[in-house]
Amino acid sequence: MKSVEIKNLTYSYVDSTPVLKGVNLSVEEGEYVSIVGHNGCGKSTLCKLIIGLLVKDSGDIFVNGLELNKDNLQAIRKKVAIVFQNPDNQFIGATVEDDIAFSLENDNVPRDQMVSLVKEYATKVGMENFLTKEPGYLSGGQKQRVAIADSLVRHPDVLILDEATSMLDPSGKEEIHRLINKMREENPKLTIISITHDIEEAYGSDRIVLLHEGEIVLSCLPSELFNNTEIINKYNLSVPFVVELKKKCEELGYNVKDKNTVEELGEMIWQSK
Amino acid sequence: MAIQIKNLSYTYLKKTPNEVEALHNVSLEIPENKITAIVGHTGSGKSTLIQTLNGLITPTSGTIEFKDFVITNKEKKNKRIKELRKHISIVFQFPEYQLFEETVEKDVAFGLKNYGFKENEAIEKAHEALAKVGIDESFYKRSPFELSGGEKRRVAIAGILAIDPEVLILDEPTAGLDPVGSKIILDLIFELNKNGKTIILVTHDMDIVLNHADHVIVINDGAIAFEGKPSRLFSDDVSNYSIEIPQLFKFCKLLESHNVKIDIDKIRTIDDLVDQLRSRHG
Amino acid sequence: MDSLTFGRYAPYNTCVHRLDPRNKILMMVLLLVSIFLRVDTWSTALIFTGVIFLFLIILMIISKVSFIQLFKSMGAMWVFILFLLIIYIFIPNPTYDPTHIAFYIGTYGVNYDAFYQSGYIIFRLILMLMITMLLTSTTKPMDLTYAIEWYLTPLTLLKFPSHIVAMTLSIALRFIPTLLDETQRIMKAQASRGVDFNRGGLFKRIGALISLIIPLFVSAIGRSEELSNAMEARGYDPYGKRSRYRVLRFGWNDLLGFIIILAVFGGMLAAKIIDANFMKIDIIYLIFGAKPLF
Repeated sequence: MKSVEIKNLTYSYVDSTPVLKGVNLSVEEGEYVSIVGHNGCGKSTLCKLIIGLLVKDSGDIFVNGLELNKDNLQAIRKKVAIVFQNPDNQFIGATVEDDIAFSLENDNVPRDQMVSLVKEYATKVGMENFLTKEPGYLSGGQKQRVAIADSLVRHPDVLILDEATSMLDPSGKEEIHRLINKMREENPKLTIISITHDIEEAYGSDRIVLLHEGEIVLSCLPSELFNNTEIINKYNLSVPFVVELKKKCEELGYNVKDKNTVEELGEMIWQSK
Repeated sequence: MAIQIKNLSYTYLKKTPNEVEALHNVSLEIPENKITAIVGHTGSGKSTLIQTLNGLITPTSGTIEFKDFVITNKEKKNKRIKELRKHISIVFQFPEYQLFEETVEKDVAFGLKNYGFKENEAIEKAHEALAKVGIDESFYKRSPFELSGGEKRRVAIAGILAIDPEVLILDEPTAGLDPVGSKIILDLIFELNKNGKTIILVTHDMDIVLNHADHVIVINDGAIAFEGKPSRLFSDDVSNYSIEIPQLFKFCKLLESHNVKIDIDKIRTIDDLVDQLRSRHG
Repeated sequence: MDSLTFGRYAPYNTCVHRLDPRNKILMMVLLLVSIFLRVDTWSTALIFTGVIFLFLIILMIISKVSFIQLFKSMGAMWVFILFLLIIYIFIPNPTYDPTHIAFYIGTYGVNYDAFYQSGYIIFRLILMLMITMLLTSTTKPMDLTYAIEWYLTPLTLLKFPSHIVAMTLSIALRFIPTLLDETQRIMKAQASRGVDFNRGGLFKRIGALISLIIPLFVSAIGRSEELSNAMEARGYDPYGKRSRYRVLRFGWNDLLGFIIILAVFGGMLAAKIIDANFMKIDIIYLIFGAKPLF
C-alpha cells in the first residue's frame, strides 16, 4: 500500500525562484526512505508541503490515499508527524509531560486518557523519569526524544525526520537512531521519511532519494547510489566508509565482489599475503 | 608563543546552592602553529575552557599566559582583555547569529573598527578577509541576511579573521552545514593553519580529529582526561567521553589484530592506509 | 542574572505552594487592597501595616520564601527611598502642620510629616514586594498563566481571545531562559569582535547594544517561525476545541486560606471604619506633636 504519493509537485518562493520542479515520489507503507541532497535542494520544502505548512503551486500529495487540500489539512496532520532539527524550537510545553500533552490537547483527547497516554509515550522514549522536568534541564538528545513522543502519541502513519539529529552530539545521535529502530520494530507499518546529511544513517535505510535543485535525480537502494561513482562525483556526495574502503581495495587489486561489510574486506586483506 | 594554562579552575554560580565546578585544576599547553582539537561531551567544560582563553570568563583560580598577557582570577587586573581578544579570537558555534550590519563588508569590518581602524582601512582589510574565505566580490554590498547558511558562516568567520588573530578558536565550525559546506570551512581552517595560525578546534567529529589535528585534548567532568596525539587517543579506552572512534581507525586496529603490519601513528586518511598496504604488497 | 532571581519560583511543596493559583491571585489582590486602605491617623497606619507585616512574615516562613532575596531586592530600593525623601522634604505640602518642624535647613523648615509620609510609603512598598514574592515564588509561572486564563474566560463572551493570550503568555515564559542564553551567547560573540559592553562613551555603547539587539531579534523571529511550524504540525488550532491536561482544583485548603485572608481583610476594613469615626487621638501625634495627615 502506498503511504505517501507525490505527483508532479512544484513550489516556488514568493519571488518566483523555483524550489521544487515537478517532484514525483511514492513511499510504501512501513518503508524507511532517506532524502539526501545539499542545503537548498528543496528537501525541507518538500517536508513542509507534505504536512501542509506550505501551499504547493501545482501537483498532488496523497497520504494513505487521502488527498491533501484545505479541507482535510487537520486529518492529514494527524496521519503525518514531523520532528524538526532544532530541539529547542519545538518544545512547546513548560515540562516534558505538558509538551507531550500539547499534542493530545490539540486532538481534544479527554483528560483521563491523556494522563495515561502521556506516561505511556514518555516511557516508550525512555523519558518517564523526566516528566516534570523543564527543557532547560534536558540534553539535546532528550529533547528530541520528547519531540518523537509528541509525534508518536498521535499515532501517525508517517514520521518525517527533518535533520532531527543534526544538532546533536554523537551520543545524542546514537540515542535517536536506537529509538527510531525500536519504533520500527514495534510498529512495522510506520513509514519513515528522513532528511539527513548523515551518510552512514542514510546507508542503513531502505531507499535513498537524491534531490538536486528541486528535482529527484535518483531513487534507489543506498548501495546502488553509493556504488555509482559517476553520480557521486557529479553531485559531490560523501560516501559511507565501507563503500570507500571497497573502492580502495579494488584499486589495490583485490577482488571485492560480494564483500559488503568492513569485516569481510578486512578478512580479505589479512588473508592475502 | 604557546598558550600556557596553569591550575585553571572555574565554578559557575559560586556560593549558591546551584554551584557547579565546570573546570577543575586544568593545566596544559596549547602548542603554537598547530591544530589542537578539544573534545568531550556536552557539558564537559570544554566551552568554559575556550571562553577563559580570551577572557570572556574570568577563572575562579589559576592563570593563563600568552605572550605578555596574563589572565588571573582578579577581574579588575585584567585590563588588557580587549587587546588580548585581538590575539586570541573565538568563532562561536553558529557564528552567523552575530551578523547584524547592513552589508557583508560592513559586518566584516565591524570588528576592525572596534579595534580603532579607520573606515576605509577597515573595509580594505574586510575585503581581504572575505577573499580568504572565498566570498565573491558581488556579495560585498549585499545584506548578510540574504545569504545561504554556508555563506553566512563564512562571512561570520571572515569577521573574526579580519582582526587577524594569531590564535583562532572555533567551536563546532561545521555544525548544521551539509558535507560540501563543511568541507569548504574545514579546508579554509587548514589553509589558515598552514599560513601560521594556531588553531583550536572544538568538535565532536572524530574524523576531523583523526584527519587533521596535531594534538587532542579530552575534557571530561571539568578535568583533562587525555592529552596527546589522536592515534594515541583512539587506542585508549574512550567509552566514557562520548567519542566515536573513526571507522578508519577501527579498521586499522582490526587489521593489526590479525597481524597486518601497520604504522598506525602515520594514518590520517584512507589514502595513508592504502599507501601502507600498497608498499606491503610491493 | 542576579537581578532576575527576584521572586523566582522555588520548588518546595508547602501548603502555600499547593494552593490553587486562582485562589492565590485573589488573595493577593485582597491583601494589596488592605495595604492601600486609607486610614486617618499615623498610629492606625502603623498598626495596620505592622499586623500585615507580621502576617506576611509568618506566611514567608511557612512557604519557605527566601528572606535573603527580599533583602537583596530591598537593597535595590535605596535610590528610590532617597528620591522619595527628597521629594517629601523639599516640596512644600500645605497639609503639613507648619508649627511642627523637625529641623531647619537654612531657613527652610523640615516637617515631621515628611518623614512619616515617606516612611509609610516605603513600608507599604516593602509589603507589596513581600506579597508579590509570596505569589511568584510559590506558584509556577505556568500555573499563573492558567489562572489568568481562567479569570479571562468570561471575556470570551465579548470575543476576547483569552486562550490565545494565555498561550502567548505561556510560550513567552517558556522561552525566557532560552532567549537569555542566546543573549549571553551573542554578547560573547560580539565581545570576541572587540565590542566592550561595559565601557566606552554613550555612542560606543549604543553601537554595542545594536550589535546585540539586531541578532537577537533575527534569531527570535527565526525561532518563532520554527515554533509556529511545530505547533501547527502537531495539530494546534487556536480556534478549535481543545481539551486540557492541567486542571486547577479549588480544595478545602483553598477555602481555609481564603477565609484567613478574608478575616485579615475584614479586620482591616473594620478598623478603618472605627478609626475614621472614633480614634481621633493619635499616639504619634501625642509624642511628636504632628498633625494627622489623612
